[in-house]
Amino acid sequence: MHKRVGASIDKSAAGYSLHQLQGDKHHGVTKTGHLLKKSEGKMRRVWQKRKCRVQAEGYLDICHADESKSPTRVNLLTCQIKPVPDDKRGFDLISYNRTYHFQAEDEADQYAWMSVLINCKEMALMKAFDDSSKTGGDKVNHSLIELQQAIIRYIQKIPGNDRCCDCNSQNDATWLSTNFGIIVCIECSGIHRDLGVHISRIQSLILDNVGTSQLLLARFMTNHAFNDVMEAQLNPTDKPEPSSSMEKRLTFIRAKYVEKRFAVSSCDSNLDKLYELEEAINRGDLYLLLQMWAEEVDFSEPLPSSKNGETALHRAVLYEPSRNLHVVDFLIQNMTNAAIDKQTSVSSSTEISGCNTALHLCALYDKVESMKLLLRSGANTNIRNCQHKTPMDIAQELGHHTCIELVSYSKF
Amino acid sequence: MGLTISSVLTRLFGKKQMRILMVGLDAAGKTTILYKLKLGEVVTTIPTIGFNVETVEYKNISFTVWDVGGQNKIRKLWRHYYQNTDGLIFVIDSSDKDRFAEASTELHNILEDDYLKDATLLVFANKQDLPSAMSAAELTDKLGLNQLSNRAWYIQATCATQGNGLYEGLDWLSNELANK
Repeated sequence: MHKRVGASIDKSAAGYSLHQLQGDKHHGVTKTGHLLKKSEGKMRRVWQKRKCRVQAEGYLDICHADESKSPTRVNLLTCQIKPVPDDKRGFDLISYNRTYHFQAEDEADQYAWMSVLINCKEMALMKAFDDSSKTGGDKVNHSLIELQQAIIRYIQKIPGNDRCCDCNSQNDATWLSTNFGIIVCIECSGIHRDLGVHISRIQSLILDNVGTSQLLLARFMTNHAFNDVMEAQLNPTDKPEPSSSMEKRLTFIRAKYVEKRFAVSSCDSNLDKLYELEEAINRGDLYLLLQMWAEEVDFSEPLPSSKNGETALHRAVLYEPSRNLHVVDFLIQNMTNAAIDKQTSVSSSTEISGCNTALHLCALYDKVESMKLLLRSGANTNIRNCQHKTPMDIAQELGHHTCIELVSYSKF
Repeated sequence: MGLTISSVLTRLFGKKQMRILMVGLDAAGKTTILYKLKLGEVVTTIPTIGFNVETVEYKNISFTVWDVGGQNKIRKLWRHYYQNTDGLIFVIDSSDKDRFAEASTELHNILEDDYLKDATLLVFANKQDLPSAMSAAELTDKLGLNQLSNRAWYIQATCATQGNGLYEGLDWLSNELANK
């Protein structure tokens, strides 16, 4: 008796399956035998019995009627295997230039052939991923890659980061929301992607080339601490489970990240929120900052104690590099571009100049790391301050060479 | 046996076939587009680890659309799928300003490949419903499409979740194919 793992196989016959088709692993990656193959003619299509062979290298060989001739070789890496809706013995193999229709002896045989073909294709795909990350082809800096890998391992070892921040699944919890610094599973990542990059930006820790700056928040945030804020008043039974439907995930994730419905509200007024925000920036307190974000504090408002219209971002940039770069990063990634480009007020007599954007301050005080983050998020380099200077003008006057390079490189 | 005249004709002369390769950065909306075309409905998707293939019938043309995953390491496999491509659809998330440069680099890399030198290029400027989505005109500039030489190309603003723009794009592709 064969097991019918084919829940996904059946569904995909109808058109769409969430995951890629999975084969029964018991059947392995090699098989030799006979299949019926439909001929290609336009008028008279007949089923022809052909010897077929699946090889571990990722190829299907289809012999001709004359088996001494060299067989047709199909690369499974670029083939899709599909069941046929109303034929339990049949399956299709779609290659780059044609579709092969096959029929196996019986249902069990069809299942075995499909499993072997799918397994073999999956293996070829994994091998190709491996090869591509080894050769790369780009001029990659190996010590940088090692550093990235070390940070990723560190992040994955943080307690709570071994499971999805939204549904607790431990299956493929390798998807990073770079603007929150949390880890989710592949299914919840699908919902995050649905919301758009202005809400959550997803990258794979395994399949993407995640740069060190994209890992910055994750080193400090942690799933646990994030949920302490964002799920503070969540009834535990309302949280999705690893087996939850995509609909349930969507409802939950939207409520959690867009409506921030499960965070508590600790402030009575907007002014209170701004005081707390200022406190978070002064202390470099990421979790207080997250709490204020959850309470929809306006990041573009001047801080209460500021006399020159300085926003949280201006203040945070000035504090760099003292342990607070992740605070700068959280602000930049979770505010609008208009807020990023906000200028301080017109200068008072005590200041060098006014109308500075955060980018001007970086150029003025040689804050290289903050400048990188600002430019990555598309900060405007052409804004002029009260003295009619762009960040580039300032960097050149002061001889801040790294800043000059960063700004000129960003224009390309 | 029970064949209608038109189906006999189709068998004799065959429906026009067009092989479409659809690529783009991760989360651009490729799988959503594929199944909106195939099923007429919006499906929830997860990142595509590998690829999907579906046949879409439209205006008596049979489009075989290959939707290949967009994660960085999967992009390096795109070239395996170039052979025999009539039309290339490049999908871009019009709201993701931070990655226009990356998308442009990938697009121009693909177009350099010999296998694709005759492929027509359709760009879907997707996710037009999102705040601060860039228009097709602005993206033409960001992607450097005007610098393409010897290439039939077209950019279409789309919103896959509402179905806007998708068939306009296929119309253009089928006209191009007819002129070939």
